[in-house]
Amino acid sequence: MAALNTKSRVTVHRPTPFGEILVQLEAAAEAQDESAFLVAYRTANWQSISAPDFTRAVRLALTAGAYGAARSLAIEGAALYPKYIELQKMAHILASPEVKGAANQATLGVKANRDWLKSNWDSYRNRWVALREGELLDVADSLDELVEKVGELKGTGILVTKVHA
Amino acid sequence: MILSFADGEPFAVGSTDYLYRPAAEDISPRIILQVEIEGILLNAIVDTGAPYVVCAPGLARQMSLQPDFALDRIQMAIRGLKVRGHLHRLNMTFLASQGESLTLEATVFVPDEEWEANWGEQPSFIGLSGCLERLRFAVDPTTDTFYFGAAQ
Repeated sequence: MAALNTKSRVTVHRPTPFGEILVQLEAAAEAQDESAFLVAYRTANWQSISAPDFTRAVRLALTAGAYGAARSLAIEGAALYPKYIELQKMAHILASPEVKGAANQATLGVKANRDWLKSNWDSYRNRWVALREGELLDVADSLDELVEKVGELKGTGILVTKVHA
Repeated sequence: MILSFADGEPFAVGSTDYLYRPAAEDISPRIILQVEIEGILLNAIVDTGAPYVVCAPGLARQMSLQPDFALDRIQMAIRGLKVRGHLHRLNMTFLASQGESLTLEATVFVPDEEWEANWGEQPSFIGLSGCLERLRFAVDPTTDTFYFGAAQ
């Protein structure tokens, strides 16, 4: 009968508890260390993470500067928890940009505005200007003052911009 | 003239004239495009090192954005500063001076209003992740022309 080797040991690899990983993710976010965040991110078994922990991890990824991981976590979390609204919102906002379509017309005012700025840059340094199709509408020392002068901007085609020094 | 591949397939659908001037306290000139975000026409710097579109908070106020549709309490590092703000999904149009304008849904970061004072008069930025990553784009520095098209 073979003697039992009582000294032999079996090593069991247990997954790192998510609480420990979360501490690492938080430290990486605080340090804005994308690389450290990704190291910790890759050690987690995300299939077993709760929905609130997913949302926490997405926010930490954004703070760490791990934008790709933030998107992946949001999409994976949203797929795992389709009824969890916060994750659905995260997945929608962080999704790849989606081209909606092309409008079959050029906007002539773009070139006219650019040409006006090129020609008049030196004369209006440090001021805010409002332009429409290459015509100067008004000038001010601040954005708020300019908006007060020209009124509503939305949908008007008025370009307001600072002429930097 | 809009750029095409050798087989005639268009590379870009439109082009626009950009401004090549310093922005904010920067001395170096930047590529400044006119784009429309949620109906507001604004100048924004092309910054392929930046994430998302970052909209100057003063101009974002003019958009009447709905905070309920945004991710709040987001903290991001922008030019070495930790900035708090909201992430939105907004319509953004690259306006063509030749060819076709192109509209996409992009991820846009808007610093919170309490950051307006710190933000100063920094411009808006057009970043790679969340915006340019799905576009073909090219620059002709001899004519200050920015070409754009949808990546298939």
